[in-house]
Amino acid sequence: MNKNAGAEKPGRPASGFNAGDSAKFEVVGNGRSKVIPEATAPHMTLMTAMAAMCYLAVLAIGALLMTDTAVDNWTSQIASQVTVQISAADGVDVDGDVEKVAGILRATPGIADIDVVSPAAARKLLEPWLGEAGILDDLPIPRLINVSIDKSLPPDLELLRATLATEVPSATLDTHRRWQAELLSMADSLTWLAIAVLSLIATAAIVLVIYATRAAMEVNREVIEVLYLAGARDSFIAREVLWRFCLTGLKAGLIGSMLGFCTFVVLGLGSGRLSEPVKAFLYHPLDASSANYAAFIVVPVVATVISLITARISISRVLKAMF
Amino acid sequence: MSIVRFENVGLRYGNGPEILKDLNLTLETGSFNFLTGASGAGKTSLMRMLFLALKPTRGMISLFGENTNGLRRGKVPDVRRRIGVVFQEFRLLDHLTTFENVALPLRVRGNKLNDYRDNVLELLDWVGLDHHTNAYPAVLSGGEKQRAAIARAVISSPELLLADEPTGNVDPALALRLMRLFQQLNQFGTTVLIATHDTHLLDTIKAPVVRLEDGKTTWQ
Repeated sequence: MNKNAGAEKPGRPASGFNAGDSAKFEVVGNGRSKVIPEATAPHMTLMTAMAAMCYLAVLAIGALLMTDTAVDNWTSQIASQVTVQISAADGVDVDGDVEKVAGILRATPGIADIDVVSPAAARKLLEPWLGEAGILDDLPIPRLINVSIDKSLPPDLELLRATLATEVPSATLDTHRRWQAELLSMADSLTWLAIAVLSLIATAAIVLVIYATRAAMEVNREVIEVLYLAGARDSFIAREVLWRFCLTGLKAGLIGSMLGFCTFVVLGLGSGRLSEPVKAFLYHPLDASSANYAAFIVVPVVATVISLITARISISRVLKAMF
Repeated sequence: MSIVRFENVGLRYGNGPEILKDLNLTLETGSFNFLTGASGAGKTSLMRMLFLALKPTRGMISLFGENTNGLRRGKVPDVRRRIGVVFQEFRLLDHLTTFENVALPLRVRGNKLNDYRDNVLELLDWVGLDHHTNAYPAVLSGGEKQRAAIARAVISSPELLLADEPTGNVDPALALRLMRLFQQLNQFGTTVLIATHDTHLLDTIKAPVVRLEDGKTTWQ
């Protein structure tokens, strides 16, 4: 058929309805109002619910990023330091052993620095648990040597352990690997927890969009039927409905993301009241890094994509079920 | 050559009784026909099958020489674009202007406004609605709505025009004038089938009549 087909023009007889004059009436506006009325779809409800979902998603991602930062700091500190402990058992020349160990450490490649903890400093470390009473003077307090590792050329710790065992039996090497492994395991668990939370949020968002799409289609059933009879294809109807869901998803994502961003800013401001150790080990405010910006941007993008894909599939299914 | 052919078509809704039975009907290309029958005889169901809004329970329907039984969903719009439909209840979209309603079949085909603006304005003039170009259906009278619906049905020069009780909501004088419109369209080559139970109309306009009774058709 002729794509631009219109009713016959030449030779059309008077219909009895037209006045026969050539007075022309013009089209006011763009002559292309939205075929599917916008006000009938529950977009405001969907947007509110989606914005709440996006806010929760931003919180989950933000919490995950904060945890990752904290764990990175912890593991980085642990990985760059080992400790040698010289036990103060009877018959051991502690000071001599400390000197021997220090010598071995200085001669070991990959060790950046060593810090011999003085007996006074070691007692200071125990005071919070044992008090300042004279009991500490009677106890055989082990000596500690903090060893900083050159991360670019780390030493062979197993070889060092063996050397110390042979040369200085009272010395033991603590590489803190157990703590590092536990921290990484905890970080993994938190990551999976965040993924589970985000998956639930995405599922809830998908369900919301499906219901909203069905509601929009049902409300506009009459209009859609007329469009079908006028020769519309599924793709035309889907396009007419889809752009609105796309816009709703984007708006909801932006609102949720902005609210989430504000929440982290407020948390950052409130962190001033936290003590330094807590801030150092538990709370790491999100900085303005590109990864953190990406987290706030990715939520609106994902919300839009979820709305788009879910609505498209849902519309197709509803259309097939309807007609 | 036939444009519509029904062969042993039967139709039932759900598990109910068959409302159309062993229907055999042929409409010749370029013909003008009436479809009549008592209320509830199945006229609307038959019309719905013709514009592919309803599938027969059994039998074969052929449109434009093509069996519609095995028609893929994606091909249905292609067939519908060759058919114009007018409803008794007009079915204009309330949120669109008269111009936009009439232009709808061209718009869903992806045509550009500049390509069809003059066609639509000219057709609106022909059906006497040029002064209602930008009006919404809510402010149109019954007759004006029906003329807008007719204009929408014929804007794309369909080969087959189906009208289900098109004069049901207008006075007798206007009904006759609308019939003249349909006759003129038929003169341009469009095959016309009008479902009506208005006996006065059938007496006034001389055209073949298909009577639907007890689920079967007979020619008069």
